[in-house]
Amino acid sequence: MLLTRSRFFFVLSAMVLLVVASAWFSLLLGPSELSFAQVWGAVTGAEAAGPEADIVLRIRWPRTLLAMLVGASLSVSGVVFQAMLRNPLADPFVLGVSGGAALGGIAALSLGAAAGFGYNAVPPAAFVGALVTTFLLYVIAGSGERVSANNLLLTGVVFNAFASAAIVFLASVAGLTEGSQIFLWLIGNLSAARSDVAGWVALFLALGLVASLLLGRSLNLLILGDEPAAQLGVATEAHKRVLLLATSLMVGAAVSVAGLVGFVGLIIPHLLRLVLGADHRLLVPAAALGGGAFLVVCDSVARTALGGRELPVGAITALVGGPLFLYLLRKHQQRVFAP
Amino acid sequence: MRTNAESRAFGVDPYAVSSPSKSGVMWRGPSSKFISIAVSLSLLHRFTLPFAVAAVVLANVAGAELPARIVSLNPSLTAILLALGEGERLVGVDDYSARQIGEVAALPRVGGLFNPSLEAVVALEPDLVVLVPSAEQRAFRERVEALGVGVEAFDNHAFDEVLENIERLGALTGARDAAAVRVAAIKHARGRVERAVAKLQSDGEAGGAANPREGHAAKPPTIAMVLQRDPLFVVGGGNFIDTMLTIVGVRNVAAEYSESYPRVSLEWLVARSPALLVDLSPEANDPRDTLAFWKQWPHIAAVENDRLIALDAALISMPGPALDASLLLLARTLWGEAIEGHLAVDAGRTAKSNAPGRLH
Repeated sequence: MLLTRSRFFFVLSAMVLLVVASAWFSLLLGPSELSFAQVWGAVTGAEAAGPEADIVLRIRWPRTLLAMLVGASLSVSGVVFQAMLRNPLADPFVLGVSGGAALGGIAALSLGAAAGFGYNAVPPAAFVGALVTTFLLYVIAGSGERVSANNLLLTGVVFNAFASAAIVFLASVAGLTEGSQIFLWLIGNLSAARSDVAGWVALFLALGLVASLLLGRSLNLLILGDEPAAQLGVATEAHKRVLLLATSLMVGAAVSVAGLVGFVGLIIPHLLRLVLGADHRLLVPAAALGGGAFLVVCDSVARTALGGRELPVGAITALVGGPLFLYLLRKHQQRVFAP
Repeated sequence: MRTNAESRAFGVDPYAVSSPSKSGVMWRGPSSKFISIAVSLSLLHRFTLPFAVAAVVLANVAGAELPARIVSLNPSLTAILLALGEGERLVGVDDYSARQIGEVAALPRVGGLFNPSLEAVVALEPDLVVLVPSAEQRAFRERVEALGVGVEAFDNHAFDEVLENIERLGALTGARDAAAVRVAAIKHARGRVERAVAKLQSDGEAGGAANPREGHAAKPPTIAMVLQRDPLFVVGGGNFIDTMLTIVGVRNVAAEYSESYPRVSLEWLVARSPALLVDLSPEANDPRDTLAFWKQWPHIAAVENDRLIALDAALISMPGPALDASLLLLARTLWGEAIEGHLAVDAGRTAKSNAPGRLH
């Protein structure tokens, strides 16, 4: 599918509309059943004080925003990793950055409880875990003469295995309340949404987005393989390093606040590649918007499906995403992985 | 089933040794096997009546042989055993008991609530293992029993179940009297609080003495009990804390959830806007931080009207032997000074002995 300027703007405008629609859906939905007029009043500032405004502006909106940012981060990094590693199974968690973040966060949860840290200590600790892992990943698999996809994958797999073993150990010695927090965190959960947290995620999303947008053309060629890409004039190694760092940080930030929200970073890239073709100049921004909208809708369901009780959003993404993905795979068997 | 009738005709209570239990499981020590054989013998061979009587009497004597080595796998059961004065029978406890209850901190530990160690339990050579049958401990129970160790299971969600547990543990350890005293004290406290609350509520309705919490019997004030702030967990319906809330004359906003401790959304809490909010979370020991945290949500009625209460969870969240103290503490905390007069009138001199304080 040829990427023309008009097609680019048409697709992205449609996706922006989708995001706006999902945000409204999310703002309108909640266990307290506010009317459209009440939500509208709160959003437009007509009703600036009162419990309705609190619910819409300080509970639903930060959460919607965070879902949007986390969904976008995971989905964009899925696109980048799938292209860079030339592996259809790649998702944001494949390189072990998520494992490092999880280990950092859970260490803070289970060991920090004794030191008097609350749940607030988790995102910073998780981000430190992600940074350390990114650094190790870079040193082990990314700093040689060539950044080998296989080395990256193997390092990631091994690190994830190590991290999950360490997490199991921490979870076994953790107390009852810490145990439940660990469970929630591992399955992915957005209830910690606050605006300052969203700011940090937005910062790293911007970083990853800029890198992958600027290098969209390189991503298109990297799919062909390192050598063909190099022959076509891509500074493959340098570009891969930049992408590796930028997306790892983006994943680290997203995982730090939301835990391991699965499937968004796997199926949204594939879904959009199916519909839009594999030109990364379009695919990357579309994935940001599509991933954001998808997670916003999933989180709205997670917040309301059980009334006032909360479901972890990771359960919804997997429940919706799994069957959807299999259906698409069956329908377009030849096309899903073809670049 | 003629067992009961038959043996009552002999003037012998078949449950004299093994107390009746809701789950239908009795202590499986040797004496209980012996008595069941004896009773069935007496049924099958009516003509051997003298023998049967002798056997049952023998069994009763054997029944005096109480479990000397008990392993407790739940802090509430550990606390009950200690309160009944049977602490010296404990030879091992779970990690939570050891952490929460100073008296047993030095005992051998056999693992957590989710991962008790079979080997550690068996190595202590217990006569009896007591546990609360959570999902993990149900499977564990079968494995312990398969090794020939007696197990007693105790549900401890509902208020009345806790009272039953005290009585059953009393019967199992030969401390029936102590158990009866404890249960009576809890029931007495319950009655005192109920009468005092009823009086306060009728005063409020009559427009008499100002009711500090704006509640009356027809529409008691709503309350939320926050166990953990982030993620938000509250006390749900049907459990002993929920029952205590009803007794002290307030209505738990999360009673609609049958789950004991549901995870709810902040939005739900703001929308419900409980008139009273009790923060039991670990962070609540810092009053300034607690106030600052809840002030973020000024439209929750409890925050707006300054009805925010920080409580040490250990004082009311243990389904153990001190529910009377928990009840009185809740009543005094929620009603304030106003309830003192009514409690004192009712209880007379016993008021002092039931004053709230540390549980153990």
